[in-house]
Amino acid sequence: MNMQNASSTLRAQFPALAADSSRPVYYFDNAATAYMPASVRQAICDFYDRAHGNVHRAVYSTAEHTTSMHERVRIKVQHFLNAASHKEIIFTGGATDSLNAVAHMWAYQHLNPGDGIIITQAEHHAHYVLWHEVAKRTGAVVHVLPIDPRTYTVDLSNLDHIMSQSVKLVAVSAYSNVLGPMWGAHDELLTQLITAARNVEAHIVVDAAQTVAHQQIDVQKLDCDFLAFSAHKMGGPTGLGVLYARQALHDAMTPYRFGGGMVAAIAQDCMTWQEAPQRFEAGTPPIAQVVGLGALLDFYRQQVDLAQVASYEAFLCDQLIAGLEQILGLHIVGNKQLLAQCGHVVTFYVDGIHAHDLASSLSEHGVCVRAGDHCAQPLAALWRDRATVRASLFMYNTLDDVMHLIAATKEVVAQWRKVL
Amino acid sequence: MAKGAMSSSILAQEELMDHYKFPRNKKTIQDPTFAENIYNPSCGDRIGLTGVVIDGVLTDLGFTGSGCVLSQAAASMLTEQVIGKTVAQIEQLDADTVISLVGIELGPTRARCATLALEVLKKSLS
Repeated sequence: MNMQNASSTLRAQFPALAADSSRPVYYFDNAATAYMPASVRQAICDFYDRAHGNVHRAVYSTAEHTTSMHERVRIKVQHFLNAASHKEIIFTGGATDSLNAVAHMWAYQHLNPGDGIIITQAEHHAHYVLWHEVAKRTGAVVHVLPIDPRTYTVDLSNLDHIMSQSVKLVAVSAYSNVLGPMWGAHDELLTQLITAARNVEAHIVVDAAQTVAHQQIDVQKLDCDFLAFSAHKMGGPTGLGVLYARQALHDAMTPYRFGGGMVAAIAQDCMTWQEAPQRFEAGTPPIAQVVGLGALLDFYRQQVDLAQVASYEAFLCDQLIAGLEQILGLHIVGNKQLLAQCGHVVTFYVDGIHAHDLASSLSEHGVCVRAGDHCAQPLAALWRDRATVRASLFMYNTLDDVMHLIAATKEVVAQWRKVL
Repeated sequence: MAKGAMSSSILAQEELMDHYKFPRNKKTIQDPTFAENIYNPSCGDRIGLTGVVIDGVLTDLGFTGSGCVLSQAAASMLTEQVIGKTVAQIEQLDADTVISLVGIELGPTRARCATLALEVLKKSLS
């Protein structure tokens, strides 16, 4: 990959980037959802256009072919995450669904009153809301690791004290959808947290939604028990996610969705479940979406070097920050040095101009950015609950995109300042 | 622009911008018959209302608040429209009413900003 720009060959594989040549779109909301390579869309269409069947149910040849195709994707995901076994890969409806599945299948059975759950102040609501609800129902206690307002990284200064309080679960995101690299340039703070958690035999669940398209994930090296991500945030179809669940925990996990496909035998007074992972996948799975994910992982394997993507996105981040910083009254929330090394989100606010007004006006320039609280309300306390604007990058963004965003922001801020 | 067509640009909507810069009925009524607040935590928009209802008629209304131009200007525009109306008439107002009032095309997310004041007004009168 060219360090200066995403190649035209790469961009040509994403039809949505050029859908309307009369109104170019400068898409910077990739942390919300990423565009899909044409090969992935084609794979999904091919599945529907060709004879197929349901999975794990019928013996006619097209159904067997569908089952094989589906299970091959599970193996691809296993390799993508470097999981020890394909049985550790459970298909879900998305990262939020995966995390809720951890709550229902493991946490409600194993957390007792007074047990500690560690989260961070920067967690997406998928974690923040979930684990507070779990605590309410189990009597567990949530410990929120604050974000240091000087460095925008996780503050572990009180970790030893927190770990002395019966911590049973650490539930954190690998990358903040607002701040970016909140664990340090090499995730050293996350390593420190996980090491401390293992010392007290706590379990670890990681939300990798903002990581999966930007750096290589190795669940064994990370040493997590559960990991969640969504297909659409890496360019796959919506409605599909993955839950990695360490095999050693499977017998301690209770299915929470019941129906066809997950039950092995039904006797008058006894039901037995299938082996994992089918035990945790009731009903017809999202087969077409899984096929799409398989095509997407092929795309990543054949055409994407995630280390290069990370460097490239950090370069674009650095350029974006340099341009935005020239705007008087614009404040970037995040550690600019870290963002220049490993960033792919840049979040900011402008004095006197509401983020919604900025984002609406930027839309008139073809620029797509998110504005608001980014589903991370507790974090906004760091900037006095102001709404912020977020630009989030993907492998197909170019330096021209970034320059356009900078120019549009300058123009929009000037227009608003003139009027207000 | 074609007659009847709405722009999507807030900056171009002069009346809206005028209401933002020079809000009407931005005040706190002393001795109101109702007082209610609303806060949209996803963006920080706030609207507070104080008002007087006598014999089923809204005789006075004041708003306070902070937030995006759309939420504050729409609040100002709404207060001008509803003072003097009956509670029954106000209950008939809906999101389309407010969107016509502000005069710009709005998607569902931005429509919430515009309708925040109406939302809290209806809550106050219910």
